Amino acid sequence: MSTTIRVAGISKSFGPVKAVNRLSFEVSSGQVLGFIGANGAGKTTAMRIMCTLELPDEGFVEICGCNVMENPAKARRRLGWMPDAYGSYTAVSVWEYLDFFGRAYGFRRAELKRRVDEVMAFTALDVIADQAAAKLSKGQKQRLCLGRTLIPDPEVLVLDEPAAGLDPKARIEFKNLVRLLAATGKTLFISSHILSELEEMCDSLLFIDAGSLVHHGSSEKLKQREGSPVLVRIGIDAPLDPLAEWVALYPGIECYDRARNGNLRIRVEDGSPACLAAILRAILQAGFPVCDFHREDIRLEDAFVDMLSKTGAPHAH
Amino acid sequence: MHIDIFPPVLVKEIRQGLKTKAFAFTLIGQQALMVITILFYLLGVRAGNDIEFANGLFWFCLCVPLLAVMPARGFQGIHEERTSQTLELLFLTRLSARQIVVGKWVALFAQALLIVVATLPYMVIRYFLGGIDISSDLAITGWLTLACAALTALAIGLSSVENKAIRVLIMIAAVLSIFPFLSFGMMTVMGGSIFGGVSSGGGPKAATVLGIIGLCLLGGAYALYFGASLIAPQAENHALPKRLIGLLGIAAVTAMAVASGQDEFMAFLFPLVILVGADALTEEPPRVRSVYARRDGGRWPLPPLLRPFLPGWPSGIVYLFVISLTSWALLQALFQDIDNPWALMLAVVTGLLYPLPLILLLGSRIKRIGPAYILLQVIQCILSALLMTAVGTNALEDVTIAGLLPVATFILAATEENNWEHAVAVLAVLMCACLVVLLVKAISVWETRRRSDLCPENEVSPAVTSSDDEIIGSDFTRF
Repeated sequence: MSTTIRVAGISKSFGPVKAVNRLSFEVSSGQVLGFIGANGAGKTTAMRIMCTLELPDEGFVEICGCNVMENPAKARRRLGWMPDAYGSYTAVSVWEYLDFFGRAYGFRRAELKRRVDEVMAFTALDVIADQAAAKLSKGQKQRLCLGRTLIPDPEVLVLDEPAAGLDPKARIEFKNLVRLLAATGKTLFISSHILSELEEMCDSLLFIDAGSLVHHGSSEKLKQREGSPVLVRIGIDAPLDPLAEWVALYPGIECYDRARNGNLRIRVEDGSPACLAAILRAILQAGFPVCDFHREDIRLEDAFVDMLSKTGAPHAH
Repeated sequence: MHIDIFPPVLVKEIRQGLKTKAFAFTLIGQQALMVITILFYLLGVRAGNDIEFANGLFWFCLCVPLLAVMPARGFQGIHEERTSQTLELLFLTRLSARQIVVGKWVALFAQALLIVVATLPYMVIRYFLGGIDISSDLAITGWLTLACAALTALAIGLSSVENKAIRVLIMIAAVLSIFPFLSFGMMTVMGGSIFGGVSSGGGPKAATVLGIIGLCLLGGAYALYFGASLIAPQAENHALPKRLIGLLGIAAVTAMAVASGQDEFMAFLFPLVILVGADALTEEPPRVRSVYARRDGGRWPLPPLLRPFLPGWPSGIVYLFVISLTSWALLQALFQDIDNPWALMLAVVTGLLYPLPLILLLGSRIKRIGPAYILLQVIQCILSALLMTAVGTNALEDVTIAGLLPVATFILAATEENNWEHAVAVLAVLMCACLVVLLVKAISVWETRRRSDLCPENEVSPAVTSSDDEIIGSDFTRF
C-alpha cells in the first residue's frame, strides 16, 4: 500500500505554547486512522496544518505525494476537511448548501447535479433536501458537513471530532457512513475523544500528547504492549481478605477492587503470559482454593492513561 | 441564460439574500410607503396643496434602503462568514478572496437594483400626476444608485476587518470622505458648479459628473480589494491592484480638474494619498515566497520599477513617495490657488510615516499593526487639536514644537501661521529620522528574504521558504 499522508517533523507554536512538537507519522492509502489526544494536545492544529490551513514552524506534510506547503492548491484537491465546528448559512436549504459548494469546487451543469445527488443519497440527506440548513438537528448537520466534505470526491478525508455531541442513534449512523467510505478505498483521518468508537472504526490509532506522538499502532497493540499492566479477576472458594493480604505482599501486583460477583480484581504490572502463569502458580502454592482466574480485557482509555503515566506526560492524570 | 454562467458566490448570495427578512421587510415596507406617497400626491394635487411632503416621503423611501439598509447588510458580509466559520471552508474550494468579496458585493448591489426598479412605476405615476421633472428624478435616482454601489462596496470591504471598533471607525472616516464626492456630484447634476463658479456649457459639467462616477467606482474597487487582501492567503498579491487603483485615482482627479476647469478638485489628492498611503504602510511583508520569487530561483518576479506594487510596508514606503511626489508635482502645476503644496505634502507624508517606526521598534509586542497605527494617528490628532487650540488662544506663541505633530504642521502651513516654516523644518527632521529607522528595518526584512531565497531548499526549513502558494492561516492579522 502506498503512503497517502506523510507528516514529517512538523512543529507549531502559538507564542510560548508549543501546540505541535516534531510530529511525524505516515498513513497508508485506504487506512482509517484514529487521532487521539486530550483537549489541547495539538490534534486540531496538526490537522489544520495537514489541510493547508496553518503554516508549520518546521517540517512538512505530503498528501498523496504532494507537499501541502509547496503546492497547497494541488493538495486541497486531494483532501476533504470536516472541522469540529459546523459552518452553515442562514436562509439556505440543504440542497442549496451542497449546490453552492459543488459550484465552488468547480462542478457545473449535469456533473454538478450528479455529484450533489450522489452525496445527498450517500449521506441520506435527500429526504431533507428542502429543509433550512440552519435548522437541522445535530446529527443531520454532521451529515451535511460530511456531505460538503465529500462533494469534491477527495482521496483523503480529515475529520475533526465528527461524532462529538451526537446521540447514540446518530453516532451509529455516522459510524456506518465511515465504514462505507472506508470500503470505497478512501483514507480517513479521524480525531475523537470517544476512544471506544475509534477502536471499532479504525485500523490503527495515533495518540498524541502535548503535541508529540506517544503511540502509533492498532488498539490491540496498545493494550498488549510488552510489560503493560492487566487486570486479573480471581475467585476463591474462601473469604477474600487473606488473599488480599497475600496480594499486598507479592511483588508486581496490587489489589485493584472487589468485583460485583465477589471476586477480587488485581492489577498485574507485567501482563505477559509467563508472568500471569507464575502468579497463578504462586497463589495455588500459597494454598488458596482458586475457582476462577480470569484476565480482563483492558479498556482502551485505561491503556491510554497508563501509557501517558509511564511516559510522564502531563495529561496522564 | 443558464445559472451556471454566474459565479458561485453570487448565486449563493442572491439565493440567501432574497430570502432574508431584511430584504423582504425593506421591499414590502418600501412598497407600502410608496403607495401611501402616491395617495398623498393624489390628495395634494386634487386639493391644489403643496406636494413637498409627498416628495420628501418618496425620496426617503428610496434613500433609506439604498444608503442605509444595503450598506448595513454589506457591513456583515465577510464578518458573517468568519463568525459562522465558513470562510476557511470557502478557501478550501477553488474560490479566491477576490471572488468571494466581489461576489458578495454584486449580489447585494443586484438586490439594491431590484429595489430601485421597484420604485420606477411610482416615479412614472408621479410624473403623470404632474409637478415633477422626470429627468431630474432619474438623475437623482442614478446618483443614489451610484452612492449605494460605492457604500455597499465599502461596507463589504470593511466587513473583513475583524475588530468591530476599528471597522466602525474606518467606515465613519470613509463615509465622511465619500459623501462630499456624491454631494458635489448631485449638486453638479442639479445645476451649476460646485465651487461657486458657474461652469459654462455641458462639457465641464459632464467632465465633473464622469470624474465623480469614475472616482466612486475606483473607490468601490479599492474597498473590495482591501477586503480581499485582509482575508486572502499571504501569498496572494493584492497590493498590486490596490496600488494601481490608487494611481488611477490620482489620474482621475487630475483629469476631472483639467476637463472641468475647476482646479479646486486637485485638493481631493490629499485624502486620496492619505487613505491609499496608510493602507500601503500597514501591510505586513508576507512570510511566504511566491509573491517575491519565481519558481526557477530568480529573486524578483517583477522588474525594479514595479517593486512598489509588491505587498508589505517596505514597498509601501516607496509607493507612498511615488504617489506623494506625483501629487505634489500635479498640485504645483495645476492648482494655482494652493499655497505651499510642498509643505502640505511633507506634512501628509510624515504624518503617514511616523507611527510605523514606533510600531516596528516595539516589534513582537504589537500583534496587530492596523489598530496600533490607527491609535497612534488618533493620539496625534488629539494632541494637534490641543496644540492648535493653544495657538488659537495665543497661549503658545512659538509654533516650532508643532513640527513634532504633522497634523498641526499641516494646519499651520495651510493657514500660514506665524513662523510656520520653523515647524516645517522640525517636521523635515522628524521625517528623516523616521526614514532612517524604516530603512534599517527594511534592509533587515530584505536581507531575511534574500537569504531564504538564495538558500537551497534542502538546507532550510521548507515551511519557511517554500510556500509558493496560498497557505490560509497566518500568525499575523492586520486588523
